[in-house]
Amino acid sequence: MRGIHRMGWGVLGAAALAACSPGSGAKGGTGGMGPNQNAQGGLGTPLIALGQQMSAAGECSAATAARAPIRRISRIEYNNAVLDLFGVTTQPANGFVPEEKTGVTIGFNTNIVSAVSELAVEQYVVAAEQIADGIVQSVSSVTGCTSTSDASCITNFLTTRARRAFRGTLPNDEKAQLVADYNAAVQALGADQGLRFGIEAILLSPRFLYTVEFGSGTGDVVPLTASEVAGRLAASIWRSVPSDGLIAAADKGELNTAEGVMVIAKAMLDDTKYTHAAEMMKDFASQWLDVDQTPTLTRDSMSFPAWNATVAADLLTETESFFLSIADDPAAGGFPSLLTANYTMVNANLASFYKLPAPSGSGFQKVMLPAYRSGVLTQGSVITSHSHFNRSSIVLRGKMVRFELLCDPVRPPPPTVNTTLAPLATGTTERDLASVHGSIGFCNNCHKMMDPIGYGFGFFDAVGEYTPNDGETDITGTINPPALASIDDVSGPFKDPIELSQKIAKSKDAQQCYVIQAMRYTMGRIEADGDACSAANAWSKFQMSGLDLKEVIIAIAGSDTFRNRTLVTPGEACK
Amino acid sequence: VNKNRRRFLTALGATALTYPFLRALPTYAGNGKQYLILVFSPNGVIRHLWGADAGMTAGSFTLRPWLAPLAKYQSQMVIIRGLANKAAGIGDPHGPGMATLWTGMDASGQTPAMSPSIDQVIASKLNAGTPHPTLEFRATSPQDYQGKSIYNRMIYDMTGQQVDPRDNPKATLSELFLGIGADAGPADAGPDPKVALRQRVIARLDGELGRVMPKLCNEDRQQLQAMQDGLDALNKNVGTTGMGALMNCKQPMITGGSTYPAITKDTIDLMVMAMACDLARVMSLQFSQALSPMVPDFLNITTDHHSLSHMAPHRFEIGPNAPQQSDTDSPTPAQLAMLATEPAIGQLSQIHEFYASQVAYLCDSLAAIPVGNGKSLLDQSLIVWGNELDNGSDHDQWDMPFVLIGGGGGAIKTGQFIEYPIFNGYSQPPSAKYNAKRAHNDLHVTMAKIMGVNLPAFGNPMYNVGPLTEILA
Repeated sequence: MRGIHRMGWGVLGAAALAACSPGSGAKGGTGGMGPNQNAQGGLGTPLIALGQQMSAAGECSAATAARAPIRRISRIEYNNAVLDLFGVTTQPANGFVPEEKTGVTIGFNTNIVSAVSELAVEQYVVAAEQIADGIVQSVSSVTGCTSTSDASCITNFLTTRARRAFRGTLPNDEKAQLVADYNAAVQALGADQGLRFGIEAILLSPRFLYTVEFGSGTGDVVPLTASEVAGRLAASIWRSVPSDGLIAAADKGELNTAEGVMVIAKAMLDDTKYTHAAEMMKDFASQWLDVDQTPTLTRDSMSFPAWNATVAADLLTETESFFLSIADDPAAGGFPSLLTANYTMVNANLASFYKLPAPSGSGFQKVMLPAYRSGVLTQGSVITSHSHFNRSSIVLRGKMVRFELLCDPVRPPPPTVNTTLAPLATGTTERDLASVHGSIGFCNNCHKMMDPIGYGFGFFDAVGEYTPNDGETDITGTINPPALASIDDVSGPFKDPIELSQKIAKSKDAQQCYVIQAMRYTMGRIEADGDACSAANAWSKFQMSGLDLKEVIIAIAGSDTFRNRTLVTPGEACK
Repeated sequence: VNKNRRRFLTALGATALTYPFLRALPTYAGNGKQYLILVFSPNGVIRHLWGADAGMTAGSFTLRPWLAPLAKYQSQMVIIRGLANKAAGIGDPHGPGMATLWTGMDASGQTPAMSPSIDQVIASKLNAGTPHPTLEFRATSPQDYQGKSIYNRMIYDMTGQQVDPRDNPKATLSELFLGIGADAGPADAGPDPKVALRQRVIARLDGELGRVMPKLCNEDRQQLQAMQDGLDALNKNVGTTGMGALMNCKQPMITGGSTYPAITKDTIDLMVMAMACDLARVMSLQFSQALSPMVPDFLNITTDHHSLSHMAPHRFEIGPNAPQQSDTDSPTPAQLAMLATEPAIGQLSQIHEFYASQVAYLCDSLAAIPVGNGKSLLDQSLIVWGNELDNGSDHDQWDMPFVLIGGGGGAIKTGQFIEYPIFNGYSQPPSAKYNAKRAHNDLHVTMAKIMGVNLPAFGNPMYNVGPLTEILA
């Protein structure tokens, strides 16, 4: 059985989330999830070795692809699409039913899990009606047509927008049907209502609200059409629909090869005039590092008087700006610098919060860090998002590193365990309390994967301030060997969070995890067996690029699993 | 304790659903149409400020300050104490408290109950044939968490999935009331151009889905089938009211304001009109969320509600202030003097009294809508107001604060303050709640009974004793 070497719980379902009792992890199948067991089905082999083995066996020479289920677009995609298609700046999707997470331990927002609810359908309908209303009110500026009565101009507007909205694909029969339905609506209800009808028909179409792809040709795995590739590129890199230029590139055959797709992907990522790509990178970073909720966090104002909503929002901006500063600069050092950079990005407000010298310019500027901080793991967003309301958290911090940076999730505590934190008695530290886990076997099975990592952050309080004199004296820790990776080049002791970050920065295991996380985000789904060759190749390109953060995205776009899909057989189980 | 309880439950299995003595009880259905409204407000209470004090004469009682805004409905209220929430696992109880409040089925950590809430069960049994079986509303504060979580979903459908509430008043107006006239009375509904357009768009989408779906493999096809179902439901309901629409039914006016009081008012106005138009007879209204981070700037309060709740007195104090700060029912003058020095107490009172005033506004609105025979919607309604916690500072769940308001169609013995034996947990750990005599599951069964639905048990059968007969008329 072959497969990518890490699987989230999302594919195993709730039944796999059995109690964290010794030896209860299922072995074999799609992956034993016991904290100390290799995921047998998920291949305990390193990803790159896997790719090489498969190449040697000829298995990667033919295109492989995993099933890409029909996916309902996210709120970000909806907002971006109506902005790009119709100039709507009100972000109407903000009030929609929120996305779910890709999997139990995979923290990306996606609408791939549950079917659409009746309420969500109602929200789509009402939003489309409001957008259509707005367009009729300012018809010439949005459509370029003199009035709603200019039927041929409006028809052209609707059909070109429809193709973009449907991610590049408007089959001729569907185009003819749209025109016929529009004409009939004009006939029955008048020109204004007719335009409203046309807009609503586009914004409520299953081809807009879902990614509907068929590919072309025969075989178990078929190439996507060039238009469908354009749709995937726009969805992955812009979180939006294709532009006219991207569709033109598809029509000119520029997306027919992996190389061509990668050239376009790079151009999209490097285009500074179009902010969607930068927004995508920031969104990925904030979801990957599990800091996207930082602006909503509250803290006990008695213990943390410096904490307020502005600081909370600025901390997220810090992490996003920092991530972009490395992604945008090929000389910035790529992935390792995310962890080891001796600088960060702050504005005057955050400089004061961190007790750093104020930056010279306005807005977020690069400032040098004191010796006790480096990279994302010591940033306030990461520390605060993995703390409690009124105290820090060894477990949450260790868990974040284990889950997000090592792709090595452990089970949640069994429901019978009292997870209420005991009060901190005078003279007791969080580390003293957490040591209880170590003395109880079935707790320690999982907690040894998290707590000894979390120890390293003992000098950071619940809002990320440096408090070395708050009682904790020992911030040495250990990374215990990952259960779901067999390149173990990361385990072992460290003396502080700086050294912890350095270990992760140079770990091939962590670098592979980063590729997988980027794939989960850009593809909007959990990885599966058919992604193995593509992931291995992307990892190889990532390495050759000097661990460049944009190159990962480009490599994924050029991969087989991105440019192909499994054959759709109508009326049969999806494969 | 907990572990044994679970094992016992497994051993009993479904047989616990068939307690013969429960089945033997009669049904207390009210007269005419009945309405059920679940109300939630967050972050627990302070015991000596919430609830009521028994009076000198039998049956008399005086409301404590946090319920004072409801004073004029005292004769239509039942205040209940002494029900434990045994289903909420021990741990961070805000989320599990929310997930178990209406489901009565065990939940802990971040894992929801996966079991239907009582409103959904009652609605499915009533099968009233209204356009919507149930309607869920949420007045979301600007600081609330936007994603979907165990903290902000309290309603669970018949398959145990979280139900998303309607929390955008402007959108809700268009979703529920398009085509319903702005003037009262069922006869006025003239042709509305918006209705014709919506119907035409949905007809086109039906055609398009009919062309796309046959091309897909099965699981993908099911995704689009869900969209088709949603459109069908919307189409069926465009411009229609329920069969039992009242003369007051009309498209409500909403302010569309963005302050929290504007949002709560709009939400209540929409909900009450949805009842008057008979769009559903089972509703829920969620103020903010469990662990509410709302910053009530409209009350000139700049600290968030949850932070304030932790500045309140603890159930029992182990520090140097004990017992001056302990949250008892009858604080001593010395304790009151100590509490008076804590500004958070006054701010918490402001917040809870705000929520109570919103519930009072809901009652006012229902009382103003006649249903015939001299009765109002309030007379026919059962409002049940709950919270995810008992004492907010300690995260207790052994004396859950519940208030019932409304006549329940004559099925409720109103004007009561009922105290079930409260287990004296002042010096006990949170797990002591399992020793409480009654759990809130008994309230669920009682609610069903008031609505004319006989349930042998609800939620985890282990926590059921039987209906709260004192409440039943």
